[in-house]
Amino acid sequence: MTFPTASPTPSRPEDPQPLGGRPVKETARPHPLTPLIRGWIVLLVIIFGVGRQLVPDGSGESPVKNLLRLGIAWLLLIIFGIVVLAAGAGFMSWYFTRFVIDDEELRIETGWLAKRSRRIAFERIQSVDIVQPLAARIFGLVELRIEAGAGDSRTVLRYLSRREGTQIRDYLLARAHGDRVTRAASSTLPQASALTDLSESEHPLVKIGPGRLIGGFVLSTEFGWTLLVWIVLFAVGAVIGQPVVGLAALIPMIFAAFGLVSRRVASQFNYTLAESSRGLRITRGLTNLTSQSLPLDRIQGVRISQPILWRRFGWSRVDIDVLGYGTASNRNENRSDVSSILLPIADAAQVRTALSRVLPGLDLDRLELHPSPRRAQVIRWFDGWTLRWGWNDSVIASRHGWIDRTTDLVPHAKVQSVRITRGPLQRWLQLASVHVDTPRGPVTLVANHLDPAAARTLALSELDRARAARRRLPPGPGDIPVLERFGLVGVTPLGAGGESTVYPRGDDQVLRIYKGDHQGDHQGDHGGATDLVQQLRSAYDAFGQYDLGFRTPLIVESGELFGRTYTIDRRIPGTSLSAWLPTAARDQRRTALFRYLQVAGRIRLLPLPAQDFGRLFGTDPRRFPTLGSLLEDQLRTAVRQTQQWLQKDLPAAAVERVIEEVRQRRCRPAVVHGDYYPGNVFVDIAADGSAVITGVGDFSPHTLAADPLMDIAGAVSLMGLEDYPEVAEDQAFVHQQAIALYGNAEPDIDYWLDVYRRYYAIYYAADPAVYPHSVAALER
Amino acid sequence: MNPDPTMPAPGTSRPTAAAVDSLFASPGDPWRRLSPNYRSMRRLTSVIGIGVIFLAGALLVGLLAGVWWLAVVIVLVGLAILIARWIVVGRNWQSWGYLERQEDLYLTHGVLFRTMITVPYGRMQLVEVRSTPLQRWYGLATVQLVTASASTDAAIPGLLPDEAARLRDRLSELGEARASGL
Repeated sequence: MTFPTASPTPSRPEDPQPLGGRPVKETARPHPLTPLIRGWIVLLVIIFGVGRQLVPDGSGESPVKNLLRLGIAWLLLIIFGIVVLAAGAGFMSWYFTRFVIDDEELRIETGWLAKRSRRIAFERIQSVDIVQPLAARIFGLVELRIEAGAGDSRTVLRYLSRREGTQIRDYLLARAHGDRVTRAASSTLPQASALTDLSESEHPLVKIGPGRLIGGFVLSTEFGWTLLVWIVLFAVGAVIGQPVVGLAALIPMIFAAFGLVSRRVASQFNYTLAESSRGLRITRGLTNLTSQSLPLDRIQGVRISQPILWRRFGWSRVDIDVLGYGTASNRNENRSDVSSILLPIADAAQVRTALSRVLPGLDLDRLELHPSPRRAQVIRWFDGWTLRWGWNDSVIASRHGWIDRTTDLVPHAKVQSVRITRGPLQRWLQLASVHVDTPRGPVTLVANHLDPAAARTLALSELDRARAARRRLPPGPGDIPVLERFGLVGVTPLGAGGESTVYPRGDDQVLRIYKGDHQGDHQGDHGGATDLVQQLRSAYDAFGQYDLGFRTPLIVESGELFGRTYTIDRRIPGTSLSAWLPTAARDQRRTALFRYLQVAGRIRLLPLPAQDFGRLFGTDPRRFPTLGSLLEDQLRTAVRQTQQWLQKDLPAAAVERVIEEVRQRRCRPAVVHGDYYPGNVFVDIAADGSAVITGVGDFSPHTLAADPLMDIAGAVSLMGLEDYPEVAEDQAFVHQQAIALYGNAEPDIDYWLDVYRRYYAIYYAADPAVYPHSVAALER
Repeated sequence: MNPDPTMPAPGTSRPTAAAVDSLFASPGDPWRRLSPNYRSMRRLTSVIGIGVIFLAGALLVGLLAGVWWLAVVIVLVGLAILIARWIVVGRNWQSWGYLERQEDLYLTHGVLFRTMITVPYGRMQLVEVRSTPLQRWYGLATVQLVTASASTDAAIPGLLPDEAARLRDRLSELGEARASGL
């Protein structure tokens, strides 16, 4: 849940340069050699194109031959003209291209006649790749490609000096991950080498030598087919007594082979898969050096293929589905830029290394694959015996193929939809197929020709697994470098809140990483999270002095890494009540909920630093003379953000009414957790088999010195946010028990529970997940 | 999700006819069917399409070549095809079914090539309602679901406009509530 005062910065004015406001920014141009190189590239294209046309291809007349009749001098003149024109156009486009990349924005202006200014939000950047065509590479220049979101929105900046290009790339990637680094700071990072575009901070995971690449190419199925076709043609030619046919066929074959070599060998040359603090990076290429950053959370599926001749050597090739890459062209490996190849050729150990980064926690060897029934061979007579399907905790898999054995893997969390299909032949044979749909790319996962019962079970259970996997939280943005320092990459977070994300660290500790401090810096208080940690640390130490029958958190260690505040907390045993409730039987739930309510009543016993009302932690820990003034301030802060919606969805008086009501409340200040709901309470099964509440976590800026009844009211009303079928019934039970437990001390408890129910509804309305509940609660 | 009681446990021997039918059985409540108007519409287009082609062929043969017996044969063949088409359209209409469950939308269709597709609400990127002039004439609309995968081909044709609008609103509401990152 978000804390009203510490959530996103107030919206900035849309206009980037208000009149007379900020000074006009210095814009930069790409490198001045750019037009020359573009002219040079056009020349290369012409030479290659003409060269290809000159080769006799059997059709006799070609346009080039007609051109040649004009004479070589004319031809050269034409080419020269084209090159000059291209260079001229290049010059204009260079002259009118300006960009700004600084700590505030990324803006690129292009266009000569039609001007175009494009501003890309840092958070929307999906990947930044560097491409170095040979001509540019000779002059030490690079091309920068910025991919922002799905769809055709690639932005290309060409050309920049290598130093500047890599700096900008590193800076943009850092910003894209939510780290607030500065341009100046990123210029001090280690420099990438000219040959491989890898810097010292990146360590290579997989390197593929040219020998393996060429060997793999010679043994590849495509090359085999090319060779076979030629041999057949040659043999036919020899038999009918005209070996010239074979020789003539040789020329297109050589071109085909040349194309294959260029995509399979030259563009994959010096292939390196490296790991950096920002994920994986692939660099490859002999003439055109490409460096591709791989966004791990965007990988939608993996395909491992093993051509028949590679299997003897244990080699395989790994392709991936990445959102956005598939739309460029369906078979885009011949384009030397971004591609869907993860490993062009690799042995089993290298595949395992790469997969451990891409699909953490997957053990391919222990993935159990089931064969399709034998009768499938009636339809798939050519490879029916190779059909396999299976799944484990993290992926669903299928395998097929004999000449090219292909294994497709799709993480459960990335499943888009599931289909069962059955054609007439399958109906006759009692078979059915299950398709798992993924975004466009090399991966197509089909469990082909299963027994109908198995197909239905697979499809329906896959939906359950996909749902469970989607609910699993992804790591917080920009947490990866910190996680890496603690060796926790790939660990699923235990929970995430408005302020921090929590990861398990062994059985006894948790690592809590606070959101980057740009979240709270609109008031100029850099290090808001650090202050909060200090406040929490001393409060937790004081709480720890008391034994109230449940645990409170304890901060073991705290610090700052990569600009992020983190703490290591003692882990409260058990699981969160939120996660446990849907799995428990009714009686168990009732016991646990009763104890949950008892603990809510005991939080008041925790020590307060002073006998005043006020906020205890956070950026503004103020004291207030009365409960009414504190709660009014809380509500007014919260409402400031949600006003526009609340005003539309509610009668105007709803907020004022709650403020008026809480002003009437009289009590002594006590610790109020402020966010007491099943998600912040831990439950475990005791030795006697009953459920016990082990502890209360996440004291936060919501924590107050206020009315002790508030946590009891929170326990009742915030429970309504839980998502399991019997929640309404259980909530009624908790409500009734609250009256039974605390009704003696508080004669008007029913009234106050209702007031605080509405108080929480307004207070947490800023959270989009809570808002509909809030409106419903306030309308009641 | 509750296991389907009519479905045999995996590992039972050769599936029976009942088991095959249960492959495309609804996972919960009975399937919701399309409006009969959809069947009428498809039948009308079939009648017009087949009628025009065969009558034109018959007239051509009869008037130009004067081979009237061949014209009669063509008309008869056209009639036979029309009857077959009439039945096929009926069966195809019957095969359609959709069902909203707590977490996913189920959709089944096809006679010869049967399909059951399930789209989790959290995966829907776009829900749109379309209707062609002919559909509007019959008071029908199509609801199309779009996910990040191009192979998710989930369109429900032949819904009454009210039902289509209800489905669109409900699906986009559920899609928003359960949306998960790609």
